[in-house]
Amino acid sequence: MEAEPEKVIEDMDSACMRAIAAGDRTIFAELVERWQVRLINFFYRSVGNRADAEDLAQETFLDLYRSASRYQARGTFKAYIFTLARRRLIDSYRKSSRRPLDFIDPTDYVMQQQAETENETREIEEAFHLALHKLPDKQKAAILMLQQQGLSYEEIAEALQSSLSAVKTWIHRARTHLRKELKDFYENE
Amino acid sequence: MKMNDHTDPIDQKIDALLSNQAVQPSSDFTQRVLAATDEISEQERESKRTKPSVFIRFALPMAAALAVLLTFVTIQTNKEDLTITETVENTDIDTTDFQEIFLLEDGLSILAESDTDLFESDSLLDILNTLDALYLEVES
Repeated sequence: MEAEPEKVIEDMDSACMRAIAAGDRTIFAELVERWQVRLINFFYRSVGNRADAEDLAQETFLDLYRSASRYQARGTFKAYIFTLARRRLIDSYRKSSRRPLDFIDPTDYVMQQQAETENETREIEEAFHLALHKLPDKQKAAILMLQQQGLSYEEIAEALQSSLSAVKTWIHRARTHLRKELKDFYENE
Repeated sequence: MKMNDHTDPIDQKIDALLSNQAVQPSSDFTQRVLAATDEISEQERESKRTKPSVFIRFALPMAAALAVLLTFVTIQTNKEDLTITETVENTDIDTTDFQEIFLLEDGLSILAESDTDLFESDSLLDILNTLDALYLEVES
């Protein structure tokens, strides 16, 4: 297998980081607007709570703001921001390990139910939600980064600081687990 | 690398659920983030402004150490002064002492000059007084 030459990618968001480091508040606001939905949804699927997801997204943006002066565009910005997100997530897992498991926010489900009217769909949603939370941390992060955020395997490996083969294994195992958990809903059909 | 069958309804559902980004941020989310960054900037400015306080923090123990050192040096100097003064005081002989020394010397010279008729001389009493004085001087 040929080793890919190290690519230095200067995407738009990486360029924004320089402006943020120089104190450009407007550029930072634009960057927040651009990434907030993706980060909040990533955290929401990870922790299962809307308020916590917003808090984690906010902390990630603050980390991004603090690190602007040190930022170097070695990889993609996408990989970088999800590296920060992942660190925040680990931090929240450490904190939440000291409190009872409470990852389902009923108000979130009410909001979701506005779009999903059928009972069966709601049940699948709930089963999926629980199945996702049963996944080991790295499997969950990897499959969300791939399917929800559209990161490449290389970017996921960078964000999770692991090898490409490990990422592929985690994603495969995660999908197998999710399939197993949702299987019952489709067998009865 | 494809690991899922897109024709399979379970896989399709999983894909749909995973890629769902239904949660929308609160309307004031960006403002909250910006307000938090303002706080960070303010804290950074504050910490830069209060950097001299680091010197103050170290200045206090240093001043205390200096005070202790100065006190120690002063005590040592006083001790030396005291020793010198004491030595000077010990060697300081006033007029009365000189008179006494002369008297003793005089008495001793008489004693030295005396011969066999020592006990017959009139100055026997003086000699005894001289010896007595010498004895007392040795004792003191």
